[in-house]
Amino acid sequence: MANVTRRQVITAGGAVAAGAAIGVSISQQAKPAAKAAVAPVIVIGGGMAGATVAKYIRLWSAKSIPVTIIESEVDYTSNIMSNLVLTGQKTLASLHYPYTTLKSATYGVTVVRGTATTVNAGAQTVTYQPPTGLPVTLAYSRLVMAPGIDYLPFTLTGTPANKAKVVSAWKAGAETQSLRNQLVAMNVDDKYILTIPKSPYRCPPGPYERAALVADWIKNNKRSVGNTSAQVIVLDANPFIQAELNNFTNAFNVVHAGVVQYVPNATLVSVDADAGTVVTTAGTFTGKVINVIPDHTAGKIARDAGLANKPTAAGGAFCEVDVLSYESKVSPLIHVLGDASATTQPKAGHVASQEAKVCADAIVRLMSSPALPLDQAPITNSACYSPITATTASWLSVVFHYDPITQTMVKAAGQPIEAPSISAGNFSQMNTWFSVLMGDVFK
Amino acid sequence: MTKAGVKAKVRRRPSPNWVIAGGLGVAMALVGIVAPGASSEAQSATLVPVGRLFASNCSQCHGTDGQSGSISQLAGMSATSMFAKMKDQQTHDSIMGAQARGYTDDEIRAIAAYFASVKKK
Repeated sequence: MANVTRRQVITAGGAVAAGAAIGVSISQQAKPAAKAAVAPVIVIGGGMAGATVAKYIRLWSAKSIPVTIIESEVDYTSNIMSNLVLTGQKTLASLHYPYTTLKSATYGVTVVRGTATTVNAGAQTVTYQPPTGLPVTLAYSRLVMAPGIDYLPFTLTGTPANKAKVVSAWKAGAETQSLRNQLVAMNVDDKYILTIPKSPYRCPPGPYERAALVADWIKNNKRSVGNTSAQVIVLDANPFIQAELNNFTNAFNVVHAGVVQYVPNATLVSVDADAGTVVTTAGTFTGKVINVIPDHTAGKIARDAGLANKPTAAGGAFCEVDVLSYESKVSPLIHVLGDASATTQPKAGHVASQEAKVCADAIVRLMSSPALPLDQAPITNSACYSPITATTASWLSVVFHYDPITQTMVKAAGQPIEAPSISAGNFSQMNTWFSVLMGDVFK
Repeated sequence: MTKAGVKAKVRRRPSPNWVIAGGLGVAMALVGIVAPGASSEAQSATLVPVGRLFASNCSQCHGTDGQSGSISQLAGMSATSMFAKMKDQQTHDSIMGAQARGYTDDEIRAIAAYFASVKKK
């Protein structure tokens, strides 16, 4: 068929379309395959990346590509803002996001509850275990893995009861509430210890945000007049603060001066839950509440499927992908999004959501008949806020462009950029940003 | 498309900006512009509008397809106005300013043209 020129106007399928691209033939128009003939795209994990890719595949394929999410929980609990549960400013319940809208006629995503256990890449099937009953095997046309992170083990001794108190609270849920309860149960002038894993880990500013928020809360609730000793001990396996260096340095040294002790190069060695001691490469520290964020690795199903081919210094592994489509570099027809993937982008909810849109766009193109070429110049971004006190926050912003030379996503010149100051205005904006962000993913 | 008609944006003579965008490899598979919200029949014939993927970077803060109920609504804003606002934002020491500085003029034009094609709800 004739090529579309800049001046041609095509009428097809009742739609009037203008040819704005150069040299793209009509035969290359996206025509999603007939519904009956297409096995669904199956998405493992209904978090920020998984929910977004499901929604946008449906949106951008005009609901012609069926999508099924396999999710182990009834609904999603947001990690973003969950540090405010620790200070009592938010409840866990307020961070729950159901899949109601995704499942509604608006999008028509199928959501099944269960834990994905086996991927058979050759047969293009995935098996999951529902909460009750026998395992179920589903066929897929393409598989999207968004399983998030797992933790690497660390040496933890003590009684079962005391060991159970050493939580990460890095996946919002019961551990978040446990940590909140432990903070509330602290005596005045008790110490809280937070260990930060080696990069890459989920949400680079997150641990520092937590330290600042807890310091603020302790100042107002668990600190005696005249106490000059630090009560928030931050043991960072990294050599320096990994995000928003200026604002978190200011938070620790000025805003919460005397309350926070920041210790870099403090790689976790072991924890004695009975004695309340944390042994690191930078010394041994004792506290009442011990919050260990262990080193990360890709979610189990991604590792079991053999996709986690990029080892980390901490002993974990993540999944290399082509960032034009997020298709695995190991296994075709399987895409890996968000925290489980190994890219130059941070592991965080906002950018994972944008990765998911690039992936959704790619899948719609790839599943068109005939397949359309991938967008060769995707952009992704991240914009997030970090509360520093109960009423103030900072922010962090970065935009990535695809670099065809390195075939990676590269930060725009001069980025990332952090807030010029910590302010109450930022805190207010944060609430609006969070509301719209979650709406873009789940509604 | 329903007979009542979703108003598809028709650009009989795409502006040089669009051509530049295509030349940069931006949404090169573009075959047409359909107003988001068009029926599935319509969209099945013409997918992948230019600038849609770029513009999706905005939706985390401005709502899906720029249909925010709170932060500035982008859907339906004229391309000229959006381009001017983005250029102005680049001078601001704000989170939006930081975001805006991450895009080239051609990328902003592609985003602006896309949102101009989206019908405001």
